Amino acid sequence: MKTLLYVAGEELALEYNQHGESDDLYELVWNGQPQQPAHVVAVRDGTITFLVDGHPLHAHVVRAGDRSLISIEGRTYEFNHTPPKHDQVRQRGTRGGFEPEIRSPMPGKILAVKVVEGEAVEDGQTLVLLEAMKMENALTAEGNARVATIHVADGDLVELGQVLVELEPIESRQP
Amino acid sequence: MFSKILIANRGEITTRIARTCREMGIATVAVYSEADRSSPHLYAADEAVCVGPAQASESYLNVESILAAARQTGVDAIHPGYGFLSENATFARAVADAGLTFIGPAPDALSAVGNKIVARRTVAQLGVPVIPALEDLATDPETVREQVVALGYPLLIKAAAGGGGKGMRIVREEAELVEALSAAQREAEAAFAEGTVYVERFLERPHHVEVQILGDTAGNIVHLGERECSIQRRYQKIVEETPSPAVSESLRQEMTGAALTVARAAGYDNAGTVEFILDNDGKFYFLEVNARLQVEHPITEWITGLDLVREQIRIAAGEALGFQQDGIRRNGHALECRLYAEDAAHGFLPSPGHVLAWQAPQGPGVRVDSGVESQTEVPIYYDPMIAKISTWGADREQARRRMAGALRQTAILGLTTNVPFLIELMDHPAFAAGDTHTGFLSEHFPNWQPGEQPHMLAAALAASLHRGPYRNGDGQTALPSQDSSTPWQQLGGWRLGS
Repeated sequence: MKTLLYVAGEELALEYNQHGESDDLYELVWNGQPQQPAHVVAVRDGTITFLVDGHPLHAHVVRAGDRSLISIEGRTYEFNHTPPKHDQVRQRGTRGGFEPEIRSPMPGKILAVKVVEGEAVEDGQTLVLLEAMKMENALTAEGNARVATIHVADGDLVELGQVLVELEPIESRQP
Repeated sequence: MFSKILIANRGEITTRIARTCREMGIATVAVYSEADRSSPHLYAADEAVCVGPAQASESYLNVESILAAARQTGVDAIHPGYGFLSENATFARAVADAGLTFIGPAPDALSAVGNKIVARRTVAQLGVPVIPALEDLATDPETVREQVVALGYPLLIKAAAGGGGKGMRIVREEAELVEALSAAQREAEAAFAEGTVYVERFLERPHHVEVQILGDTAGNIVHLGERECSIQRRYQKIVEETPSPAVSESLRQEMTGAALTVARAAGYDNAGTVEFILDNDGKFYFLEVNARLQVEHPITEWITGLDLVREQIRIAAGEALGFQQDGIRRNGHALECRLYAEDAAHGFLPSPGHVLAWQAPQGPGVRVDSGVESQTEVPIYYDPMIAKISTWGADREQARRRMAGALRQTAILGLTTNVPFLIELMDHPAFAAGDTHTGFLSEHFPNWQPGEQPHMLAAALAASLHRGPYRNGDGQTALPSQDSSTPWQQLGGWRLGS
């Protein structure tokens, strides 16, 4: 059996094949590299217990839509089962450059939209005040820009990653 | 003694208070907002009443609505928990006017200590040191800019009605002042319905040490030792312990003595906490009185063996303390970690959402006070703290190792939480050495990213082998969407009677 999993857009390949001599022993190949085999000793509703070289590992597992969420020893692992959509890849790729889409970093409520469409904004200028869990968060422009479109109004509830404001870059003018 | 108590709060503290009430044979009423229908605190009580919409101002902070719930259910007392209306003297008076008992200090004592500005002045007159501050700020930001020059930067803006770090801002340079002032005022207004702020000098790398006090209505008052609460982000505590590694026995005598002086002068009864800032020269300054049960009260319960909620209820019912200072024994060491629904790798941004799975740790010396369970919602409207884990040990190292183990047993899926961050914090040599101060996180964990992912392969295998429970994006149970072929899916277009 072979599965492809995705973490932050990166593809990971896992081959797992039941070993002949024992039906709970799996031979593992991780991104082309053979690994120590694992005994899968118990698969329950929401948990899986492994033995790797005699050492037990207990995983809590939930499948949520396309994602699998796993907790092992207090740390959380998250995988997608299908490749990331194009725009998610682009979003990661543009880090550090001009970001035209101002997205909500958390689910929350819009406290105030501080700009109007067409307004020229400076690097660091506050565009939107967002509140979640009694914490205020100012979303700012990265680089000088013009406000192209505003998608939200005061009091709106927004989701994580929702586009709030779209900016267009202002070309630096000759003096 | 009371026969029925309404708990005017939500989450873990409501559940915790209800447990003690049940032990005491007192019936309980929980209140909940429309956003909290799935919250476990609702079914921790004997009755539950919806007090309004999601916004706290219309539900948990809605005095009329809460009093109506109290009348409707025929309670004889109200426990306010912490936060929300717990330190609101107007609410305490309204409760008394309705013929009910407010489980907390008398309204006059609440007023005396509740406003931080008034409390500072009172305490300074008692000879207890206070941090230099400016209390009467002008309304015009330009004038404030001139006012604070004498104090010097860095400054700390604080809400007069504050608590829990809400309405607090550190200002390192003048350019940040005006925006920080208005943000602090807005935050204070939203959290406490009182936007007044003041400014004090900011001390670098101090310890935050607080003394638990307990007084009855006859004027008997004792302290239950100190708690070290220096590990903070955004002026909100995330780790607390008792005793404090920074407090010697002689300093403990001084600080607890000062705390009792403050409490006596305020005519304080019930449970309360006197907070101090302790600098690196062993000098301490009064900070504020928290006139309520503290979030971190379990660690004091661990080492004293007392149930603080039980004591609160007994005191409010007019009973005497039943013990004196020399009857209080403090045994061993206790630690608490606060579990927050937040992303420690991205500026501790809140991460509300749906809890898909929750497994609490257990074992000797481990206590969990939780506000969530599997399949519950962590709404955007309230504080992101979802649970507290506390551990007891014969000494600090045992308590720390127990905590490190307990955190590794904890599983929360569906939300980003600070558990991986807390694990690294517990393992950090500086924490193990007891070198805690309020700058600890910025010094040792600047721009923290989850480093270790030691079980990536096992996790991938778990993701591949896992069969159910399947949830759709909203956390609702759903049929497996792929790599599954149950007869139910193969039936396809087959219909009964066709």
